[in-house]
Amino acid sequence: SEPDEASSYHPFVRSEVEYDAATRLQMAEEIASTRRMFVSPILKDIIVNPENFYQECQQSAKVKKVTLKFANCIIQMAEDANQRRQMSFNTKREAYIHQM
Amino acid sequence: NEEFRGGPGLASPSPPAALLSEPLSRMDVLSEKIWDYHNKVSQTDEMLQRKLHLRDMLYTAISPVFPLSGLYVVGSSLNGFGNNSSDMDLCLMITNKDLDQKNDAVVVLNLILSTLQYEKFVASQKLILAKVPILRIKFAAPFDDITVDLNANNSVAIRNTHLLCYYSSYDWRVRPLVSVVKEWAKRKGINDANKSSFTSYSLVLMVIHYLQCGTEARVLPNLQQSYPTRFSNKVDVRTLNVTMPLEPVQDDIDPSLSENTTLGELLIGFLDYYANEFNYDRDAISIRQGKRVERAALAVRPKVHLSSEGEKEAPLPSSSASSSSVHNGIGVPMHHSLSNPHFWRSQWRCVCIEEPFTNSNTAHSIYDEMVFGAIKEAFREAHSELQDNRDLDRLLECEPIKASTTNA
Repeated sequence: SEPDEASSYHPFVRSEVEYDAATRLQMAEEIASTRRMFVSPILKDIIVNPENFYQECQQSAKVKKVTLKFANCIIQMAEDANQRRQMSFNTKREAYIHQM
Repeated sequence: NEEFRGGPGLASPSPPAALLSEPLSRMDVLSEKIWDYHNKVSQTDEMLQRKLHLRDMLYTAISPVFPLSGLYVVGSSLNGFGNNSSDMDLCLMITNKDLDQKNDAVVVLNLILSTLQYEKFVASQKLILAKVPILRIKFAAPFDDITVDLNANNSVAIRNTHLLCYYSSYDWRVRPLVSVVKEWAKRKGINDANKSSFTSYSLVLMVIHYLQCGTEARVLPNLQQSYPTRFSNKVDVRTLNVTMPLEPVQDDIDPSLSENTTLGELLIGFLDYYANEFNYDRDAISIRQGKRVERAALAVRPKVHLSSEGEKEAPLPSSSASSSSVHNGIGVPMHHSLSNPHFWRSQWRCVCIEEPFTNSNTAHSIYDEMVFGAIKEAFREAHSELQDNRDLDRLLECEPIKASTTNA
């Protein structure tokens, strides 16, 4: 099969098993034909030549390894949410104390 | 509170120190109740972490088939308006172009369905064919309390999640206000697009609109006007990051003025605005313009939405919360003009709420005059109830509206 640009990508986000472009296209065509649909030229291009759309700006906090390009825009979503909780809790507690 | 108000989108602001630093709390009873209720129901960090973990598991299963794709959390799980019982909406991004939703998106979702059927953590799947097709996934324990709605490449959902996130964290009163309005609407039976009433997304836009122009002192600015590049629909969705703070700009919000209105007063004012001030026959809600506009102008104004590739021909992705249509330059819906020439007119019939990115009507599901009448009556009742008694519990002890619908 033809060389797959995708396989040179960042190892972290890659699954251990990955189908090559020809297999992926075949899978899509089988799925489509059993449902009386078709793989359009646009979709075929997307499947065969995937472009990087990885959710680099929406990572879970446990993700440590990131590319340099996005290194300073990683969401520490869990940490951030935790901070938010704490803030609400403190506010509530202070309000309570002030009322006593 | 010296900090600039439009901070990182995810950080939830708390009441200003001035409200709490005095010998007695200056929070009135109604405001305290609203704040309390909000903290009780809003999405916990544990829930967000579980959702993100589940997203990662799904991504691991999907990426062998769609390498390099992106699996984005959209909707209430990330926009700041979620509660602990919210489902998780996901958007699988595979291209910058508009993906045809009639055929191509369905093929993509079917391929994912057949991939996920071998995963032990997936309990059941259902493909829902709508204008934006959805793969609804349910899970085995310990994720059996979360339902995922997955769409293929409906990128506008990433944009409006990003925008709403910054509105929700602009002022500490926005989230609690939305929490209570959503709960009231749910109990009233008017938060259900399938029963010809409001989607949660529409309710959020109604609250934002009220805070933009329905109050005496503005509480919210127009973020799309203040930050045109940040919230443009030409920005690459891969770069949207809800933890990046907004740089301060001049706007017409005076915090010292706007903070004079309490949370409780804002809730009463919201009900008053939609019960007595908003003229449904004449007015339309536009967050994008930050004001009330004439509905006639909204429905006929020429709109040309350019996708990032500049293709006008391709069907446009619709909003996450509503399966809406978008029209082209001559005011005819692009993918409905042939099948139903009246579709465009009818989608602007009862309540008009402009989607901030596609300019379609997020409230197009309200087309039934009976339900529409009942909705207006519900606002009037709720307003006089809360104005007279200022009792949140009594407001929430309401009966559902009695209008029957034609498509229920």
